Amino acid sequence: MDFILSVPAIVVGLFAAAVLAYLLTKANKILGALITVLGSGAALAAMLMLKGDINSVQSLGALGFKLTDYGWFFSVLMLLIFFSVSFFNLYWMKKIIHPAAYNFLYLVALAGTVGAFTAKDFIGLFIFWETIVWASMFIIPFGKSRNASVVYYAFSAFGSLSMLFGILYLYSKTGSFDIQYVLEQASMNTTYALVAFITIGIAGLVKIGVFPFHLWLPKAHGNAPDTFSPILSGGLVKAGGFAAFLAVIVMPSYKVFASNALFLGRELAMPVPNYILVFLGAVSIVVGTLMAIKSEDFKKLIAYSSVANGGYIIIGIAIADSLSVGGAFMHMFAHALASAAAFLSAAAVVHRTGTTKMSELGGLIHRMPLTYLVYLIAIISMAGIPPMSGFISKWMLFQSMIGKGMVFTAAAAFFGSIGSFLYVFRPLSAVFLGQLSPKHESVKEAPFLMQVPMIGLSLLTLLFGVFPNIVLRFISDILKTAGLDGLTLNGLVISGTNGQLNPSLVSLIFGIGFFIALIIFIIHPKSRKVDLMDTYTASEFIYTPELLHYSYAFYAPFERLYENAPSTEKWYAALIKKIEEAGQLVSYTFFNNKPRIIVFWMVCAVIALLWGGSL
Amino acid sequence: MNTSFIILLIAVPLGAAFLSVLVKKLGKYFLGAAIGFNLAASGILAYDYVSPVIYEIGGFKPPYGISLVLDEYSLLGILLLNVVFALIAIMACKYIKKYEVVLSVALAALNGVILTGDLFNLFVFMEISAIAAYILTTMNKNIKYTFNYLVLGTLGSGLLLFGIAVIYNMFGSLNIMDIQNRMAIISYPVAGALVLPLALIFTGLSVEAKLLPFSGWARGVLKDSNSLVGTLIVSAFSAAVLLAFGRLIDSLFVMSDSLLIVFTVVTVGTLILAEIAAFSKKNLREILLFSSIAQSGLVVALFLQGLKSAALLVLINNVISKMILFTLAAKIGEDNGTDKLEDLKGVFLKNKVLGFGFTAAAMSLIGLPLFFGFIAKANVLVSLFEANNIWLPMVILIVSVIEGAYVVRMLTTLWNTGEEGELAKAEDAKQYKLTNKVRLTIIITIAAIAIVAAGILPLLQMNDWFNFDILSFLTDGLGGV
Amino acid sequence: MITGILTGFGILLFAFVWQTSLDGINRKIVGRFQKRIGPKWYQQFRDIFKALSKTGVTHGWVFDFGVMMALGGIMATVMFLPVVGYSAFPGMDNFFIFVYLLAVGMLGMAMSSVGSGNPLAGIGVMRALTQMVGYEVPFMIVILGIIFGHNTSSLSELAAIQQASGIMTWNLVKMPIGTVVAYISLLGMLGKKPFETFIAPAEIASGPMVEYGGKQLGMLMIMHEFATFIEVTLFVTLFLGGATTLFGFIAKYFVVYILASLISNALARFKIDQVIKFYYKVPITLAIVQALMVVFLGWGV
Repeated sequence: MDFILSVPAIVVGLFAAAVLAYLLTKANKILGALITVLGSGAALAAMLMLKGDINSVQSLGALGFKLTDYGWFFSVLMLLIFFSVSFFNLYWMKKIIHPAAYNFLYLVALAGTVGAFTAKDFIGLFIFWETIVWASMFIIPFGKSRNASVVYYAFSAFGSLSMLFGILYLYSKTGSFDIQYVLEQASMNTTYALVAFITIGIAGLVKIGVFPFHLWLPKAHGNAPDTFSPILSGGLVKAGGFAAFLAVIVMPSYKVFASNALFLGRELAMPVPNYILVFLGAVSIVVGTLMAIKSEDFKKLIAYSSVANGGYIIIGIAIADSLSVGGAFMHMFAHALASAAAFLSAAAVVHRTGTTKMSELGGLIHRMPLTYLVYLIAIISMAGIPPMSGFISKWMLFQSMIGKGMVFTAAAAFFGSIGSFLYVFRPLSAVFLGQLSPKHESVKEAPFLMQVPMIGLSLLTLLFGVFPNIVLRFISDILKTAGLDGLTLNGLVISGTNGQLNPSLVSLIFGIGFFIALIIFIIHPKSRKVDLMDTYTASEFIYTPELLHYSYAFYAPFERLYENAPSTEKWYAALIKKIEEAGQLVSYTFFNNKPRIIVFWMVCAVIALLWGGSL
Repeated sequence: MNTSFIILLIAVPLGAAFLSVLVKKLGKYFLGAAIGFNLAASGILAYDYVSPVIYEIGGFKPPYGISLVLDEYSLLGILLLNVVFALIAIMACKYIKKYEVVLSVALAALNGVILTGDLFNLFVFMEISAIAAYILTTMNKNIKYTFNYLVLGTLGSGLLLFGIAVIYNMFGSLNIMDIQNRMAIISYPVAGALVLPLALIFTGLSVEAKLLPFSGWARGVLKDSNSLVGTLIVSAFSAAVLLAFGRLIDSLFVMSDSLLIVFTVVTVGTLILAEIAAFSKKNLREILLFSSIAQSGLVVALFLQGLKSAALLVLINNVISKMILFTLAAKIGEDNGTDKLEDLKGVFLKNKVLGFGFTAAAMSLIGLPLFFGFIAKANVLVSLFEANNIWLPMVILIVSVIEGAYVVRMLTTLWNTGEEGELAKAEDAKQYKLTNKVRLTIIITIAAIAIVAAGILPLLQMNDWFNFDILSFLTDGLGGV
Repeated sequence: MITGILTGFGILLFAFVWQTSLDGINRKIVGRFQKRIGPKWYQQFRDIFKALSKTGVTHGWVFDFGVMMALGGIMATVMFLPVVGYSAFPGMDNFFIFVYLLAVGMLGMAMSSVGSGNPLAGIGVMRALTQMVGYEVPFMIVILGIIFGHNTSSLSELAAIQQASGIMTWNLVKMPIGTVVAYISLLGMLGKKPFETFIAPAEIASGPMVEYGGKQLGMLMIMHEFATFIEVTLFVTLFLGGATTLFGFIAKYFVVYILASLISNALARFKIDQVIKFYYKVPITLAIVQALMVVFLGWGV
């Protein structure tokens, strides 16, 4: 196969496009942003064309690339998200402090993503993985918080360095970096397998933002530039799913540790390491949900919801049967589309109003109906309601959990699922519905080129909610190559362990129901249109729309119930404080400009050296 | 190959120093000529290098005469040292005035430290370089710190001398190779008997190598230092001392297990504590000086583990990136009257090229891929794992997280404006001054490009870049040109 | 497919007629309970058709769109229900469809009411959603036990399994704890006291319903009847063995619904945080105990 259309060519091309974008942005900002659109679009097209070349191997210098089927799946998903979001870059050039650097890093992050998912060797995976980290680490501070970037880096570094430890440890034991080979070797030795599982697993957990590593998501996603939050939440977070997939399924941990299973002989028999993942996933569902309910910031809210959704993905992968892993893949797919769309609608709102604080917004549906619809479709999918793609994945995951009889995990998942109704409704109500503030009287709908990707993502969400088998067939193939059973797909029907689902039928019936309702509505007398302020106010006269807008501390009675719960945020803050104090102590003890004290330490040290050495 | 270049590396700067004393006005040119000569000479030596050469001063055969050793190790050392020294001198030439003599002496002494094959000479060169450093630090206008440095430095060299004396007493020789040979044939338990001298030498060198708890001078001397003094100390001096340290560890340190453990505790402790201290600091130069201390700890720890090549890679990475970082930090500090991170938000907005240099150096320092630091880090970890060492990689990686956090904090603050919770906007940037930018820009750009190239090319060109021997690479790659 | 849809329409019609009549009967019973005569049994029909024929007000397109979405979603859900052995789409009457398709309707209604711009509607929706977190989780845990035990999540199959040997195979008998929990959850779903917080006419002027009149109100009343039908039928099917005859179904349905109504009239209203606290103390514990019994001990399978 020629080099022109190959994975290394895409990666190199994206790096080249990054440099080009940098230079062009210097000349003309819009032109530079256009390169991000064209670059990511071309890469997406190329990747789609490469579908026939799955399992091909190429190399670029010492770096090897292998296009696995799951790598292709992830790459296409990422490219799709990057491509969709890139349209927004056109409008953000004026708002970003370093537009040229932004465009450059945007494409570098994309190149890193494609590289990481298609690397043949672990070391290539790590190099590209870290490239994503540093590229996004520079973009995040262009937004609202510099500290967010530090938090992001610290967490990511913890994850990726843990992976590096595992990679190099396994290299020293197996003498190879080849992912397939190393994992195969690791699976034959429990110690190696455990190292691989823990180190790569941690990398995945950190990236996907599972408790207790979830803190960076609200920080980074909530404060990143509005155009980059969808990339983080829709795209890059899913790399964590990739790592977890490597550790649990490709290795495969569920077979290696099968002898250490809990509840042997029952449906819910599962190795202890997998149970730990399930537990963490369940905790993050609960934590993410509760924190999302509490958030006052539009973007932070969606970020916390990503924590909860990360929990589902990890649980799905850790359960490690075909339905659950398929569900996890579908969930990654659905959540990527939905959360990107939700963040994009947030970005559109920011573009027009300049704020993400929900209490300052309201009634935007009357000014930005399309943005509203996009958000609506996104949240329907995030909440797992038909006819959107999020429903399919949740259904599959629930089938699997119930089939295994995992009471507590399912309880957490149910809580997260119903809780998601609460938090997704919050922005809907506070930002789009309710009273329109007079200061937003003249707000306009998002510009056309911003509408394009938003509509595109929404249509895809709908399409894969009605005809999920388009994706599920491919996912089924992935599962088969990974050594699991394929999914049971029959025409439009998906079969689970204890039931069947025909999403197209559900959508059709919903359509019929809606049609009947529409007819009932139309045949009855027309309503009189009244102003938003013309509402029941118990005969009080209120003229200030903001006062009639219920948006601040929306779920106050519920929030009160857990306001004193222990907080990981505080724990991390205390940890950082402790490290700083320790640093000050070191600085004060050994670097205090009093020679006598230093000499005292030196004498102590020499004595210690002599004493220790003569033992 | 003209071996006399070896001695000329020391003699020419020394001569320049004498001439500068005589003709003060021309001191600048003498220094320049000496630096230029050293650059050229080390280049020629590298070009002609075939195999290790022992240069005997006055023709006395070792162990009787004084000898200079030019092997791959010291070749790498002089290349690194002379290049770095030259670059620093060019970047900070406005401070050179009145200090030409000291700088020339320092150059001579540092070359000597790297080249010497003789313990006593090592002490002499160390002492000379230290004295040069004391004098240079008077530029900071804070005599208290210099005095502090002087006291500790003297104490350190005293211990070093004591240690060397004990060694001489034991083996009857000062020549390193000779001692090594004698160690091999002596029948009594060498490891036990060597505890005292080794501990003393280790302590003595630790003072200059900035290991905890012997480096109390470093903070005072470096936190307000200018781009000449500070940079020289954190990169050139540090490189020379660490190289000497490495050579001694490699050849003399026959350690019992417990002594190795104690040394390792000191070095690894330095790594951890200094990184933590750097994390708690808010000033650019202070952060960098603690980072430099930590890296010294790592380098010595790796030498102690016998991983010479890995240690050298870390050393090179640290020296080059610290040169860029500290020069810029000091420069920003001097020109704006503060190097407090808080007050320097968005300083690179108007100085993008310098900012890129700083960023590349910082990212190389924390070992991110596509920068040289990653190659170094990967080599360190691979060689540690191959030596079946698991705990040290763990420590290094955990410490890397802390290191990364403060470096990223530095980078994000220096590139972006805006209070926490507000959008970064270009308009909010204060007017920062950065004078004399042209030379700085050129050199830093070149150095940064080198760092990036050295980070990317091995990935593409070498199949075993994570496991390569820098010393043999030097002879095959450069000597074979 | 066409027959399926027609069956669905049949179920829809039956549901509407039966539940609306029962609502009228219920009003009469409640009246007698309170020593009133009470209205005629067909009063609820009258109210609905009267509302539909009036000219109401609208607060913008989402106000109308939400109502249509609500009614549409709920009607679609009803069409999937198996009633007396009739099922529009056999095998597809998966339990989760009811939970989540019902949510479409609820979401539509919430959207529409908050879209009116009245903060009381917002508060009502907030309470409704909060209450939903309360009752759904215990309910779904109980259902987990049922699905795990019977290894199917199809409602008609679950009903058929329970019909195997009379009353002894009903889940009411086999999983009594779960049945109690589910009934408490049912009270929450139906918005019966003590779980009436989100309507609370005296506090928040009927919450979500505060702005409605005319055809929108009429449609939401229809929606409410359907929603009640779905919830009660779910309970009947899951715990009382469904029904093979129309009479059996009507009888079971009547008992379940009227009992809820009577309980409602005997109790006072919880505050919303009390609702959550209650559900997350007693019912959820019982539900987990029940589910563990099924999963680990095999009781009730």
